[in-house]
Amino acid sequence: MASFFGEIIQSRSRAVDEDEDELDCPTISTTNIRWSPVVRAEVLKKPDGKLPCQSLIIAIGPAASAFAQSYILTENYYVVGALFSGLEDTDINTFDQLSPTDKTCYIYRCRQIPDAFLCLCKTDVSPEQSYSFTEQLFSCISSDSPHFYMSILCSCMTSEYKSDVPVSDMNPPFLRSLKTNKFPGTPLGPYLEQPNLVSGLPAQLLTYAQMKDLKTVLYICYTDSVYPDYASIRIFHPLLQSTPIRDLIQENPRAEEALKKIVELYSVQNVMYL
Amino acid sequence: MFRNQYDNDVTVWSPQGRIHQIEYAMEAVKQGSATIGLKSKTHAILVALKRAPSELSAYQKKILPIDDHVGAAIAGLTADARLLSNFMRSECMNSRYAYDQALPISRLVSAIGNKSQILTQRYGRRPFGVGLLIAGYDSQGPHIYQTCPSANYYDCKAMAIGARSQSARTYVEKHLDKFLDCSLEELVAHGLRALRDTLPSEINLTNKNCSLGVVGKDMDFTIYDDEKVEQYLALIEGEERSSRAPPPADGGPEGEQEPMQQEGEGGPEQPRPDGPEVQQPEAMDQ
Repeated sequence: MASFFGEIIQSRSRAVDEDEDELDCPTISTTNIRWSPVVRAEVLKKPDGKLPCQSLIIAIGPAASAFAQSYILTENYYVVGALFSGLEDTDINTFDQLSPTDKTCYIYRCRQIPDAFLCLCKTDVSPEQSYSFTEQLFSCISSDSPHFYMSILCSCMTSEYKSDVPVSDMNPPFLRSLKTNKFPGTPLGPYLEQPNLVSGLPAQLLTYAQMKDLKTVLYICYTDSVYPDYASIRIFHPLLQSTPIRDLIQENPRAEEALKKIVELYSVQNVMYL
Repeated sequence: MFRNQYDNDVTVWSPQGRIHQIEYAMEAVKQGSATIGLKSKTHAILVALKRAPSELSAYQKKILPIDDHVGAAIAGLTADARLLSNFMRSECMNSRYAYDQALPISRLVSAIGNKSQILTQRYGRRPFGVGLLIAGYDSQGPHIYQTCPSANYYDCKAMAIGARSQSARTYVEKHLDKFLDCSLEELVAHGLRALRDTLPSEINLTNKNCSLGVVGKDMDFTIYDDEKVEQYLALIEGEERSSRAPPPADGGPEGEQEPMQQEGEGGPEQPRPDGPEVQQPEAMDQ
């Protein structure tokens, strides 16, 4: 078709192929969880079939996972389980978990503090799968303890942040928080202002926590950088003093080195923008 | 800025009179690494932070020579920058061929603006996703110009664009009065200090991550990379960073809490109770 200026523009056909109606709707796969043999044996001995837990930290997305991997994860943590959701055949995973393209979600446990768990979620968990993810996670981890605390870390782009102040004036990256009614005290960061929403897996976890009356806090980092960089990972640093993370923190002299490696991995990926 | 039904096409206005695609294109410039342009009475310089390349590939250039009297630093989509730099080179070459003179910088920049504007008004096209800082010297003296995906261009006394460039702009605004009378070395030192302010504290400027371009009255546009930039880095070696630089991660807990607190919020987290819970009055308001 010719436009007003006389140039030829390709117009899209609105004819629908009849064969398309015969295609099945893609089924939404549920999340699967696998526990290590040690954990499976331990769970069998428990009356409620769940591992006792006092502290659960869930890091969702590359920036939060990079923070947890650098500052919280030490050699004292070992993998006890993994959650599989939405993995495609084309997803590549490395054994060392050091590639930016790794799409895994491992659950770690601290040797010194057996009731502390850390979940690093690097997969893209779709909103449709969030509920089964949450269900599976709590199928083996008990939240019944009166001292159970959960901390959810996630990130989002500043382009999703709605405010009357221009985002560039707000000096991104910045942190916002939400919490359940049962969480005592004040989070280490301003509350997320309306009309902003947290969505997806972090929202599902927080909603579950609110319904089950769990003491839970959520921290979301708004960043303007597509790939995690020092600023968007380090914005989580003050949370090392927050409950329950501060109870899990151990001497970690390699934190800065680990952080540097992760940032360099991502910076190499970022070649489209100079 | 958030998704809405008026942001799919650059030819669609929103009810508020905005074209969202152009605004989104401006965000692409912020994905590029920082670059700064400064000028004195005699010289115009560009300093730029290079991104670490893959170990297998050569460096991507951040400062591009255009003609003897003009060069450009880019921030944003690399491919768009390449196209624009080819266009600029051909404009400069045409001027020398047709009029036997160097193309005045303002005319070069307005040609870029006109070319960029077409893409903001035609169906099926998209704006360029790159911002340029153009440093040149012509009969009117040294110039620093900034171009945007919005097809606007600005004649600047000094400018910084790219990721975390706000810190550099703050430095430059603070020292703006000093630039005009600076010698070349002093000007380059200011540029490098401003560039250093965009970096986290554990990364330093090295000859690997830093690029410099200089043009002046009796000086063709020259790019300094690798070893050649060492002599200028030595000018700021050992200096303390300005207080605007981001705080180090190893700072004590007290130091780290400060940026997080706001009025009416905060207070230390309650210690985990061994016994009955301590209920705190919860501040749910903003």
